[in-house]
Amino acid sequence: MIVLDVAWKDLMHSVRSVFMLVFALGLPLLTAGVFYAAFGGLSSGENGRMIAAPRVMVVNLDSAGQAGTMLADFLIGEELSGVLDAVRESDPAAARAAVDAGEAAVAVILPENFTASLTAAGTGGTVAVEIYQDPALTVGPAIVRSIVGQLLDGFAGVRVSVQASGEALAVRSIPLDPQTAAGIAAQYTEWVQAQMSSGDGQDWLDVQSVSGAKQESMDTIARMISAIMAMMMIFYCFFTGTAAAQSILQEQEAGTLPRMFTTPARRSMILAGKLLAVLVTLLLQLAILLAVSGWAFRIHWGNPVSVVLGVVGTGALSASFAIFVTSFLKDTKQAGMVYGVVVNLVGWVGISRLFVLIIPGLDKYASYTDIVSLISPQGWAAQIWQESMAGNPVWITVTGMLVLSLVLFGIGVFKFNRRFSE
Amino acid sequence: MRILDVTWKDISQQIRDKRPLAFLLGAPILFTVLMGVMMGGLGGSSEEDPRLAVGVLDRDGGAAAGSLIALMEKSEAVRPVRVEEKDAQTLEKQVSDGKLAGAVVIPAGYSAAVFDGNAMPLRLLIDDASDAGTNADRAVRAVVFRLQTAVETAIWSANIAAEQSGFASPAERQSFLESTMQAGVREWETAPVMLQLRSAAAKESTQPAIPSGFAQSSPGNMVTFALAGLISAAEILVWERKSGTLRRLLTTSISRMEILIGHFLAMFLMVFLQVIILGTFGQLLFGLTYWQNPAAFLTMATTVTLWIASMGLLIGVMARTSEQVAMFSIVPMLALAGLGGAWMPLEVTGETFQAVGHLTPTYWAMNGMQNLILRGQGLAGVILPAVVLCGFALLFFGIAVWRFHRE
Repeated sequence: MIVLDVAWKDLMHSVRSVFMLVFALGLPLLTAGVFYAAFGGLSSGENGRMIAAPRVMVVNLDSAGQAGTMLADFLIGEELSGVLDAVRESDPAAARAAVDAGEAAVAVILPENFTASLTAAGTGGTVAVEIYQDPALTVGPAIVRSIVGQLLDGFAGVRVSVQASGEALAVRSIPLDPQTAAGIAAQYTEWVQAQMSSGDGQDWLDVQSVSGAKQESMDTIARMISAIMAMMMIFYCFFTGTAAAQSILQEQEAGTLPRMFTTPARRSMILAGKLLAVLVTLLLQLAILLAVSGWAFRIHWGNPVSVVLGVVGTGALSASFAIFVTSFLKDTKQAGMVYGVVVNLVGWVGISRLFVLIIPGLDKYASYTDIVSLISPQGWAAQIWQESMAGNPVWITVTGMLVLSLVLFGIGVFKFNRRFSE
Repeated sequence: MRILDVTWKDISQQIRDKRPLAFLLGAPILFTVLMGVMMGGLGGSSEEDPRLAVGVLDRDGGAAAGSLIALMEKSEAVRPVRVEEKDAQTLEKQVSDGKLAGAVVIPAGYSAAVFDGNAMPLRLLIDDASDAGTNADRAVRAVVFRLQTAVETAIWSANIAAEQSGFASPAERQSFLESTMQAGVREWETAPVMLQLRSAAAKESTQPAIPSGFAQSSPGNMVTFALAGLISAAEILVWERKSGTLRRLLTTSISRMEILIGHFLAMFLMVFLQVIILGTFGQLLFGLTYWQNPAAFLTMATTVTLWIASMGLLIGVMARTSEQVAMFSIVPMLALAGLGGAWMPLEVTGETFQAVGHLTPTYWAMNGMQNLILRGQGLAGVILPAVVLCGFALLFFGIAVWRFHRE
């Protein structure tokens, strides 16, 4: 009964604290919510992120040439309207100025001799299409470069084809007369148009995704938001644990704990009540965060059994870690510093395994972070949620977490007992 | 003079405890380095060859396969990594682990089939859920298009040659096809049209001028942690109110406005120093050109600080407890930093998010700083952001004064 009384009193203290509620529930949801909103989760729906179409200024200085007009019309036309927000501009300087002013992401400037350079009868030199981009942007200009690059290849192929043919036929002493060259150019044009109408090289490539069936169902946004929410949940859960366990130090400083020890209640019962309060606070926090994030951000945390095991494992490990860390502290002054530094650092090591999954290009380090993260309790928590969300079994991880919890809890209780029996 | 007394009292109170100071400088530096290195994946990679690694398992060994690899080697987006048959089983895992952005398997008989006009598709393995996979897919398609152009050219040319002089044997025809295809591959190296990439800050090049991760992480953390600095500054006001010092102060000849300005000045000086140190750090360590135009940087530092200090003043006036100070500081800090593009470039976000982001002072702070370090602009480039930030500063300061006078 004493255990429950002490636990109830501490629990009420925690849930009545607006500060605690904001930190335990508000901040993790706010952070994940910002990313959810950022990547179009609120409006885009199911397929990938909804990046705004980059504003492109198209300047065609080759207005007399067929190729320049075709390319400019295609960039501005309906077909690319969902990908590019392209507008026509006649003055290159004005287009560049618009990019400098941040009004456009890119200016595509087609030179005067664009069409002439593509024909075999032209200068034979190389002509440059200028892509003038805002240096602060990466994605928009990359999209424009890719599209323009592909279109230019389509145009450039005429001359590549005619010149390669001329070179090969010359070896056999067959001259490439204008009529033959025109024939090659016509065949190329016909071939390119056939490819365009049949789809972008569908017969040439058999593209297979290595993502498993389960992963395929999770779109990019969901994977990213899930990883961010899991990171935030774990990070703030361990903070909540330490903040709740700090009540032992606060009561010790206020003198209420030594006074309680003078009552007939056994010391171990009082400590057990405090530990129970920490655990229940954490379980409540986890349950609310899982439910709200699952509903608001459409995160699938895994099957019910895995989720329950994940909650138990994470709750037990954060509570025991909080007791373990707090048992080494003398007073609340030390607590601020140690919680801030230790819990932060250990936390970042632990959630690094999730972090590398959300930053493009960092996933190559996943095999290292998967191992290194397990030196911290947060890493075990991250692992169990990763497994649960991927639909993998969590038994081994939850067993490891409970064993680790027992070890940390045992050390913490031992140290507290020694301190209070002195 | 009395204003300066209040200011000096606040500053001496804040610098007495070195731990928050170490946090306000140490944490942003640490996070700038960490996030900058990590965001290198978005652009300015320090690797020698920043192109995406794509595994190539050549089971054909013929001329077309060789030409495909040659074209990949010339690609600006991908670089081929030869994979031996004994490692074929690990290809899928290497792609799913992200060690390879993709993998191309060239089937046996591919070279013979392409000239016969029989479609024998190359197998391309990618993780379509990753950016690297999508980019590798796009780049490999471009390479295969170039190869197919060369192959088709060889076939058309062989038909012309057969009509005009004929081939003595199938082997001669095959040899002609292969040499013409290789001529086509060579022609692509000197394609008649090339992309010339330019930006206001970079010289002409054929490589994209991509900002380094530090150009995002440095101003981002500068703004985020300047907001975090509000906690200890605003707490002084709360402590003054709780301890009764404020009431005692108000019985003296010092006016309410003087008290507020005194506190504001203290916050301003602390945050200004923090911004200057972090900017100098970014310049020295990462070569970010904050100080290229000192007047422009000082303008941005001043206006960013004006906004943050006036927000700190408002928090201090509104909060009744230390817990409220932390809440009123950290919640806006996270929301403004996230919405305004301090954590990630706004260009990778949705249209609505970008529109909302433009309404935050954080966006204008980031915009002004990036005009200096990325766009190479001077004083003219920071005028608009500076004016908007001054507007926010006036708004927050005005509300703080109004609240304080009603107290």
